[in-house]
Amino acid sequence: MEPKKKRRLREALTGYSFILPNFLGFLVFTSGPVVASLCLAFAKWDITTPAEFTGLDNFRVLFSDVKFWKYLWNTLVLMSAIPVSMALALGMAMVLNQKLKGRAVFRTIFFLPSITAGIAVYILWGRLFNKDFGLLGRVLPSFPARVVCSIEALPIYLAAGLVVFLVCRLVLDLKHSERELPVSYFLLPAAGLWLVMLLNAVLSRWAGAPALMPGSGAVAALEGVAGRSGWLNDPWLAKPSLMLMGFWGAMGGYNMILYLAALQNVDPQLYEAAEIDGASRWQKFRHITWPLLTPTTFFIFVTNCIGGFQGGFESAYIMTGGGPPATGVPWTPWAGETISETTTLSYYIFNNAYVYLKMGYAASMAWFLFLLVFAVTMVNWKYGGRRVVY
Amino acid sequence: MGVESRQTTRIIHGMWYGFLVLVGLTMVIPFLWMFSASLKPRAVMKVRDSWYENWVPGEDVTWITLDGEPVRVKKLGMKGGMLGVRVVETGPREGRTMRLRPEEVTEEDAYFARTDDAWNSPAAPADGVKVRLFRTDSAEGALVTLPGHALTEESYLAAFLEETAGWTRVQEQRRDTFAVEWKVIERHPRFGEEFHFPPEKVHEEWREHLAFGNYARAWNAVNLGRGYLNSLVIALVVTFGQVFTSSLAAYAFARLKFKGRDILFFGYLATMMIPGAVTMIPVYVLFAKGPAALDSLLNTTAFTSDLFLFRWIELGKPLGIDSYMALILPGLFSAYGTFMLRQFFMSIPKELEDAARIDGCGSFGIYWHIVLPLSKPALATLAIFTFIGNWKSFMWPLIVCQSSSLRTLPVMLSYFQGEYNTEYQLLMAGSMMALLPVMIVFILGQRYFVSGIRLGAIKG
Repeated sequence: MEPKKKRRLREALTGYSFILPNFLGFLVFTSGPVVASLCLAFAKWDITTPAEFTGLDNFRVLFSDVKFWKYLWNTLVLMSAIPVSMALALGMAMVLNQKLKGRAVFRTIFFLPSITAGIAVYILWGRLFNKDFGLLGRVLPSFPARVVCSIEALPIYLAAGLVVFLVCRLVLDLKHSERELPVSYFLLPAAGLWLVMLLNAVLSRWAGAPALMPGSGAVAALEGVAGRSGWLNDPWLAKPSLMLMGFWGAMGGYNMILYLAALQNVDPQLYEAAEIDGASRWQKFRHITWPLLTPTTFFIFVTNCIGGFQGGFESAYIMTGGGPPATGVPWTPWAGETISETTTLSYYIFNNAYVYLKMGYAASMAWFLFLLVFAVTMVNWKYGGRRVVY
Repeated sequence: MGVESRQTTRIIHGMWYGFLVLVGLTMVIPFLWMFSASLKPRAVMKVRDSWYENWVPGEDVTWITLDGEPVRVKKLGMKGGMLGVRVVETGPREGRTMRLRPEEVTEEDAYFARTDDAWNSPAAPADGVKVRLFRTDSAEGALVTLPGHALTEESYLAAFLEETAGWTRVQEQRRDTFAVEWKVIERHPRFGEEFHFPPEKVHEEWREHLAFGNYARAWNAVNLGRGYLNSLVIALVVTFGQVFTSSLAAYAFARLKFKGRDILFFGYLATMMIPGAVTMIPVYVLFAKGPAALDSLLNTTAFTSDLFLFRWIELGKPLGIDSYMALILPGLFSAYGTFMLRQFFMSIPKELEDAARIDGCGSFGIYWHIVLPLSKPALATLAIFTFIGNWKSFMWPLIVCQSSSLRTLPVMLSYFQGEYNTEYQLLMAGSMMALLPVMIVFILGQRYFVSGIRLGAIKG
């Protein structure tokens, strides 16, 4: 057994030495810092004075810090654009999947926004949104404020719709019904709630009727105020503006190329068989394309979620400098404070760590973010993994 | 399926092309605007009524005919049916820089007046102590009344230009051992004079003006050349390093057996979920405190002193916050790259490796001679991803680069944004220059890019 053992040892040594440079980097720049930042989260430190251990202080401040929760909300609102940009990418991929000559050229052009240095694109769009100079910024006052303002509440609608959907499913399960509700049905109650809100805002403006839903009356009062100082300076339109910019880039970006690759892997014979059976275009999409795309959709959604939690730094730093101050709106508890509208968690952590030099606090926020990302990914994995068809 | 169907297919195709062209336009138009903005002369970044004037770089010119030749003027106001104008024509050589030997420049006399804490130079006495200012800013050509003692006579510098066989006013710019650099400050002989003209005689037009000089000015204003060099060097080093270390580790994870392999790999995967914010702060502290600690450990000053290449190129510190290593080292390790390459390596048929092993090839030999050449697409994809990602990265270089000689392009471009105003033309010019390498890399490597993402997606 000697030579075999020796060979195994040699292979092990080779393996370790191959990994060594990478693993060293992993240790020094990833796992080490993770442990270090965990320790830092329980301390208070600005780099100049020695660190002092403060226990759970940072976390206590975290939970009572209005700014933190508002910025978490900002991040979530910006993330609510993810499903839309995924849909856009899928649509674009389906268009590009057809047998048209010169698709490679279009693919390159569509990818342009994703490869250019972010700063150029951000400043470009910042200028587009400018009230005096920008192509978009000048047309604002005619935009119906009510429709746009309700974008801020989009996560509320989506969540409420999800809750309604889950309740319905629970009811159906309890009744042991055969009916299987697909997940996308949660969009129905969400859209319904949004329509009710819109209708309510319209009614309270024109008919003078009292507001059905709390807070929606305030939306009507914003007419004439919203958009006066340009898109990015407006507390209502700042985030939708950023989302619009995101859609522009997402149409041809990484997501689209992933979808394109996945679409090209679909066996055309399936489509032929469906056509023989007399399937319409929508049916073909719903029963062949969509299920076969679920692994890619899952992958894209998970990675976009992970990225979305950490994003928004560059747009905050370059375009908006943190964003316009939030005006109090009845459904938010932070009326009257100067908290910014486009600051995301990433920017807030950056400011705390490098500008205010509150490293301990920043580390605790970063860990909170990490746990959040972890939890969401786990939920995605468990829930989405069941739905993926291979 | 007949002739009719072919026609409808053509119509449908036409529709799709139209749609694609539309979307393509929305992608491209912002960049076209960027390009046109980069060529606009300085004072022109305002919105105009005609789309032509908005997009094509140009400027407004108001002019009259004086002594038979057109002279630029500025409109003052109507008085008694006549329009007052002031000559603001500068000379054709205005602003040009040239290098002269000190003896080629002579001194002359002129009057200087002091208004709002700055010397306006030179001025010319008009009537009594009323003076007219000749300064290149908002006070240009203004007529002010000053107390007598505010007017002094001083000398200014002039050089004799061969091409005009005449004397031109110059201003010193820079001085080094070989020569002195001078800027020409030349004026029309009737500069500052005011006239009244019937309005029809005052012409207004919009002239195209491609200010290619913006690129040179952007280059000099923030030392873009150094930024380019920094970005390029760092991106290349990180790309090579990452591809190398990732492929080594990926091969080990894919083919070699050793204890703890799978647990370690799972650990790698888990790190992809960690937000950058978590690791960034301790890494910053590591680089901030590290050199001092290393110095005291090894009892030298090597780690905290500045480096110089060829004695005059600054290289920052060897290992610290303000160093190239701080920009390069964290980028050399990538979990995503290792993961993607491992998936790819696992798909290479084992028979090739077994054959090589029979021939007596060691593990590194197999890696070098067989696996690497076969995985060129995957390696190329990783290289392109890494290059583009590194070129674009903003947050970490922003934190790390504190001295201007270390800055990468994105950070440098952000400095065009002033606190009160932004020099858009220069910023757009700089951005266009920053776009170029990435565009080239992408266009050349596009083939690998798309196939590589496919690899990552399907197997992932």
